[in-house]
Amino acid sequence: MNDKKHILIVEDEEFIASLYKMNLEQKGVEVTTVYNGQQAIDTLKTITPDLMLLDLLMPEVDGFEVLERLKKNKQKISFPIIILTNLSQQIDKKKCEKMGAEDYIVKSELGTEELWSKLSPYLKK
Amino acid sequence: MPLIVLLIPIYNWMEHDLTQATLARRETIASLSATVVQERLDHLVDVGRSLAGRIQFRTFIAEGKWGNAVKILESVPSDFPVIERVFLADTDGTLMADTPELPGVRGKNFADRDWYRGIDRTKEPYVSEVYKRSAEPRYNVIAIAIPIYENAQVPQRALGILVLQVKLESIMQWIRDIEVGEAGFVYIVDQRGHLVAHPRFPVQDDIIDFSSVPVVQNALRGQRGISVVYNPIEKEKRLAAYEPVKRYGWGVIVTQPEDLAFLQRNSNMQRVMGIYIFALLISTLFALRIVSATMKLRVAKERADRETANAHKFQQAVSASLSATVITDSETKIHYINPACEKLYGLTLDEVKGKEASAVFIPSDQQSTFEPRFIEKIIKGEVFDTDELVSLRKDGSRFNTHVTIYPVKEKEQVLFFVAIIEDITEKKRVDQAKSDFVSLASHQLRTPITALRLAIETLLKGIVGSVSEPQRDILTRAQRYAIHLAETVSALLYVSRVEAGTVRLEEDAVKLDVLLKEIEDEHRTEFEIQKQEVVIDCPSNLSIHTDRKLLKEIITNLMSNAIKYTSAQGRVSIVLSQEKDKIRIDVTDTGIGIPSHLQNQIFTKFFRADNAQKKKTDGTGLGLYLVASLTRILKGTISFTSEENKGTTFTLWLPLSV
Repeated sequence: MNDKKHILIVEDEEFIASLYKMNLEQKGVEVTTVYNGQQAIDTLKTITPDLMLLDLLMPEVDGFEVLERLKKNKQKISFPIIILTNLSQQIDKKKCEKMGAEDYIVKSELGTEELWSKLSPYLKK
Repeated sequence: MPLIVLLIPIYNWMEHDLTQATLARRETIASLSATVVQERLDHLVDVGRSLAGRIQFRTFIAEGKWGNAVKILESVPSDFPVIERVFLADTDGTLMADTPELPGVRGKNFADRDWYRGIDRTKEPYVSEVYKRSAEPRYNVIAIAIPIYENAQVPQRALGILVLQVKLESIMQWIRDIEVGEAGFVYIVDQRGHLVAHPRFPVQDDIIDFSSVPVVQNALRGQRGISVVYNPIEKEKRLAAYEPVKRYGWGVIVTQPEDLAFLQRNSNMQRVMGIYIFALLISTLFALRIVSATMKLRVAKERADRETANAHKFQQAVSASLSATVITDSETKIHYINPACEKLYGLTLDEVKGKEASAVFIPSDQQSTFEPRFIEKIIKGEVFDTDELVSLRKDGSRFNTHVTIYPVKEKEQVLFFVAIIEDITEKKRVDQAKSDFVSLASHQLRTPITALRLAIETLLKGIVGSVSEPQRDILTRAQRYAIHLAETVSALLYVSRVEAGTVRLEEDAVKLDVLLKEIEDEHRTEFEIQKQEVVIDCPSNLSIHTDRKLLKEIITNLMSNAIKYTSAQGRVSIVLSQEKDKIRIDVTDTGIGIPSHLQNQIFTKFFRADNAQKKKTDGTGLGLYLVASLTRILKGTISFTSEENKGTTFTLWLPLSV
C-alpha cells in the first residue's frame, strides 16, 4: 500500500511545474503535473489527489473555469484546492474563495519552504 | 364627562394650529412686502443704470455739457411717474443740471447728503435714506444715486452722478394694496429706521424716527420674524412681522392689533367649540380633523408659494453651472434642470417639468437599487451620494453617473432637492484600464521571477546534484536578488493600486493571534538564517474588525524591515495590546536605527536612509511608504522612536473597527 500523499499541480509553465514537482517530491509526496485546466478535469476523473495546486491564468480552460466546472458537476470534492497564481488582486482571491478554493497563494512571493509550511497542514488530515 | 375631558387636549391642539396659521400668514405678508419693495427699488436702480449708460449722455458729461446731458433725461419724470425729478451732480456733489428745472439749486453743493456719502463710499448705485429736499415746497424724498462712468464696462473714475428723486407718496403706493386684515397695515423704514411709508403718519412732511422700535431694529439687523409689541400710545398689543429689504438696508414691518389678528382664530374657536359641546363624540372628532386639515393646508400653501419664490432665485444661479443640475420640489417632482443637464440627457426643461425625477433619469429596472437608499437618507435629512448610478438618456441609451442630492431645508422642512449629476463613463474606463494594466503587469513580471526563484532554490537545495561552495555562494547571492525583485514587484503593484484608489476595503473580523502566527511562519526561514530571537506577544482573545490583507501587508512590511536591519543574534519583537477602542501594535528591533536627521523622511516614497543602504542593498524604498498609505486607509496612525545603532520601535494604532 502506498501511503504517500498525492498532490496534483495544474500549472501551464512547464518549467515552473517541474520545479515545484522536484521540491515537493523532496518532501516525500507524490506529484502529478498537468499543464492546463482541461487536463486537470480529465485527470480528476481517474485519480483523487490529497490536494490540488491550481494556477489561474492558463490557455484554453483556465483555473476559474476548472473551479466553476467542478462546482457545477456537483462532484464531491474530497480534497482541498489551493490556488497558486501570480494574480494578486483581492477581487480574484474573493472569487476563488466563493468558488470553493481553500487557500490562495501568490507564487512569486513565497519560496519553496514557505510554500511547504502552508501546504503541509492540509496534508495532515 | 369623558366628552369634557377629551375637550381640553382638543382645545389646546386646535388653538395651537390656528395660532400657527395666523402667525405664518403675517410672516408671509412681510416676506412678500419686502420682496415687492426690493424689486421696485431694483427696477429704479436698473432704470438709472441704463440712463447713465447711454453713450451720448456719457459723452456730454465727459465734455462737461451738463445742460445737453440733462436734456436727454427730460422725458424721464413723465415716462416713470414714480421718479419726480432727475438731476446731475459732479463728483464733488455739486448740482450741475436738473429736470424739471427748479430755481436756486444749480451750483449748490450736496456733499453732505446721504446719497452722496453712500455713493462716495460704495462706488455703486445707492438708495438713500429719507431726507427733506432743498427746493420749495420742502417735502420728503429718497434719492437713487447712480455713478456715471466713462466706460460702463470698465468702471474707473466716475464722471458724475445721476440722481433719481422719488416722492414718498409713490412708495406708499407699492404697499397700499397689500391686504393685512382688519386694522392691519404695512410700513417701510429706511436704513436709519426713519419712516419711508406708513399709512398713519404724514411721512411726506415730517421725518419720523422709528429706530427705537425693537422690530424695526431687528429688520435693520437683517433678521426676520414675528413679535408681539405693546404700543403705549394706542394702548394695545400688536402683532408685528418684520423682514429686511436686504440689498438696500431697509426694513418692512407688517402689524395688526393682536386681538384682531386672532379674531378669526378666536371666532373659529368659539364656533367650533360650540358645536363640540353639543355634538356626539365621533362627529366632534371628525369635525376637528377637517378644520385642522384645512388650516394645515393653508399654511402649506403659503409655504409652498414662498418655496417657489426661493427656488426661482436659486435656479438663476444654477443655470450657469457647468455641472448637470436638477432642482425638484420636496416631492421629487422636477422643478428645473439647467442647460448642462439638458445636454447630458438630451432633454429639455419643458419636456420634463413637473415629472417625477427618478422616472425621467433612471431606467425603470434600476429604480429598485436607487429608491430605498435614497428614501433612507432623505428621512434622516442627509445628503445622499450614490457611488454609481445607471442613468437613462432620452434616446434610451444608458451611461454611468455619480449623483449627489442635497436637501435644501428651512426649519427642518425640506423645501426642495438639488441633485448634481456627474458623468463617470470616462472615469470608469480609465479605472478599468488602470486595473487591467496592473493585473497584466502583475502576471507578466511575476511569472519569470517565480521561475528564477524556484530554479535557484532547487539548485541550492541540492535536489539536482551537489553544489560546490563557490557555486553555493553565487547561487545564494542570486537568490537574494531574485527575492528582492519579487518584493519590489509586489510593493510596486501594491503602491500603484493604492495610488489608483483601487484598493477596496474588505472588512472582516480578524483574530490577531492567528494572523501573527501566519506572518511568523512565513518569515521563519529569514529568522533562522539571521539567528535572531523573535518574540511575539499577542493576547489570544484579541481581534479587530478591519481589512485582513492590508493589515497583514502592514505588519509584514514592518517585520521585514525589523529583520533586515537587525544583525544576527539581534532581537525582534511584536507586542499587541488593546487600549480602549484601539489596537496598539509595537514592532521593536535592536537594529541599526534611523539617523535622527533623516527621521522625518522615512515615510517618503523611494527614500532609503544612508545607513540602511550600507547595511543591505536590497531595500525597495517602498515598504514604509506603503505602510503609511495603508495605515491611512485603515484609519489608523503610525509613529516611531529610533536611536541610531540601538534600535527602532514602530507603533501602530488601529481602530477596533474601520
